[in-house]
Amino acid sequence: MPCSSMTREVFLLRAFEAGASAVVVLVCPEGTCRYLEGNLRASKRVARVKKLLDEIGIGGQRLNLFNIPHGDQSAADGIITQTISDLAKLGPNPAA
Amino acid sequence: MIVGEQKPLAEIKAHVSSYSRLLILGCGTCVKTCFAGGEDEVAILASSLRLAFKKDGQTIKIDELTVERQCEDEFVKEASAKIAHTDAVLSLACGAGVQMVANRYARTPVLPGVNTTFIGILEKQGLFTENCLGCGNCVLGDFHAICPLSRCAKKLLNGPCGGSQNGKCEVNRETDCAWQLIIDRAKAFGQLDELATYVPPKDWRTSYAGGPRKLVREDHVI
Repeated sequence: MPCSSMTREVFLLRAFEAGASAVVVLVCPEGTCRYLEGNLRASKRVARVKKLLDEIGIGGQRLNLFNIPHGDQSAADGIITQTISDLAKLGPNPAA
Repeated sequence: MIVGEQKPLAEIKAHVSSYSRLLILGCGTCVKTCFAGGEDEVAILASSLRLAFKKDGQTIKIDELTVERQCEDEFVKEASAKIAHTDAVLSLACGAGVQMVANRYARTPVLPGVNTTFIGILEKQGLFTENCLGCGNCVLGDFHAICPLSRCAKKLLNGPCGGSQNGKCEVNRETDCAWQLIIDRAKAFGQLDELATYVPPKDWRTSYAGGPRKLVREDHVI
């Protein structure tokens, strides 16, 4: 995506419909969005979907947003590793 | 615009749980603007319901469609093909739209997915506020375009109650005192004296209190 602000709520939900047990959204650090508010908008949408996932009963903790600088591969690797580790406790998506 | 808020997911799920085929019907006008029932909201709700039912081990087939306006039959007709293949319709329109759909599709249960709340404006991004009651006899001209019926908690017509502080209403401190706004605007126009004119009690017969209303435009009836 050209900017995390293009992340729409329905994309996140459909990822869980497709069987994902966890979803991570990686956005630029605060104050560095080249479109000024993109990462803030993404953050609000992720918060909304987390709440929806709680209401659905799947658990909002399966969806998380992280701020990482563009191109920081080691940070991305660390986040994915942690997410997979967290999944061991959460278990698979109950709606998969 | 008419402002509405989508019902809680749990309430919607309970209402549709007895149907195996559901059409979520959105509306592309007022409820789209207040993020309650437009195409995006239809997609989000459909996905949420599918997940919620699947989690419970139930299968529900959910179809999605959004029409321009559900308050006009010309647009509601467009849903006929999809409604023919569904057990129930969950309408995300305002109450008027829900009833229009039910009116055309008399043999299909039509359920509301939105709580219709008020006629209002988008005051700033993300904030919708009520400012019209649809009273049927607009007197905004007497109050410098600030409605004391919709914006004064006590619906006072002859000046403030005296309970406001710092321009805020004593009933709800987050609300601007409508009379403060009226007075400020009258002062700005140099027309403060006009507010001394007595306004008699409101005749509510032109509002919903007088029963369902109708407007006929003969010049448009063929």
